[in-house]
Amino acid sequence: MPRPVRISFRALNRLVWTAFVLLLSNQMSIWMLICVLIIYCQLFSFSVHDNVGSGKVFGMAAIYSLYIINKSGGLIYYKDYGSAGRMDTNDSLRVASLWHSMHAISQQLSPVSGCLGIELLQADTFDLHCFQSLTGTKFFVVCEPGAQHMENLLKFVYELYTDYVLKNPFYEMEMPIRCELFDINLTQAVQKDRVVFLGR
Amino acid sequence: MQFFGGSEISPSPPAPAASGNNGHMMYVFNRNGVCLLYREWNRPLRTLDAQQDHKLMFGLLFSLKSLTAKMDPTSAAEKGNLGMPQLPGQGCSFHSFRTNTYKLSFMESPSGIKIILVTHPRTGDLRESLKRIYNLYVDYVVKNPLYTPGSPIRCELFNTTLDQYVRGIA
Repeated sequence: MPRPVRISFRALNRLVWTAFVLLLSNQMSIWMLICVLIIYCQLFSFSVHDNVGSGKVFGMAAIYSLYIINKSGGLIYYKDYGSAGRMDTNDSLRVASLWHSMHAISQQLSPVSGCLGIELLQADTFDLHCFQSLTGTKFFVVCEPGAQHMENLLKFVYELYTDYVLKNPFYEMEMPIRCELFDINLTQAVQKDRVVFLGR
Repeated sequence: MQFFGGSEISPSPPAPAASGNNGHMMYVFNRNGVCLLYREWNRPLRTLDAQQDHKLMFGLLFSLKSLTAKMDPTSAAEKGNLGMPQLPGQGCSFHSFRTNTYKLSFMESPSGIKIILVTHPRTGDLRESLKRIYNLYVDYVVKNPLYTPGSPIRCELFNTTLDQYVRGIA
């Protein structure tokens, strides 16, 4: 994706008004005014287009849901960020434990030794990125096909998990996560765009 | 993020050699789960005997398909319970998955023939190549008058063409 062209609307307006004033004082031909208008239109459409694009790739729209499962396949955290259709609690539990088993089977089928399970599943309408920590906790995120930097997001979620869940004295290991601070920070991380994920 | 001093948490095999031996193995299943063809080019690790391996592979694909059909976040239609039987082409399917040691590409034809190709993890999108392999299957197996549908493929010409083609793509 091209770098966004950051020229404010006000600066563009000033440019056009300057051109009009120059035209009125006969210092500029009508052709130069047309050139300025063309540049104005192009830049404006650029900036609008880029804003839409960045929201799609890095903002809320890119991620459909996030799951965390413990080392025995139990769902300990599930958050939906606006996927269509309904996935109730039972379904999310089943899906999570099914993913745990598929992850284990994929290691058995490897033609080469040292396989650590599925990292990326590319379905027709979504991508599933999975990150397994050294202790066996799995983090996986369902996102739009082709969404970038999801590994960084998952590692960042892992960092939040260690900071706000594991260091919480009231948290019982392998149990569903109910930590307000974790929720708040996770929501911020998912909403905040490229600065968080790329700056690390 | 650093774990125990290492920056890379998942070790992956060395970068693919120029071309030629990056294809690991290939499976063809029919819609009943019978393994019609198994080809193997480069497989140092074998944990199970052949039949168990084929069953496990078919089970993995079947379950991943029901998982993706249930998870599909773009359709609001009622998707039924997890594990609902799906006809070929029905529901959201998948076309590949990647681990740190291999990449598996998957294609299902409308008649339920499943073609699975396992390659090096850094190979690109193989959807078109799988379609070509399906064409080879139609040309050399289905059009063979001596072949009975549903039986394992024993066709020398198909095997040699397939080996040549896979060597060209991966």
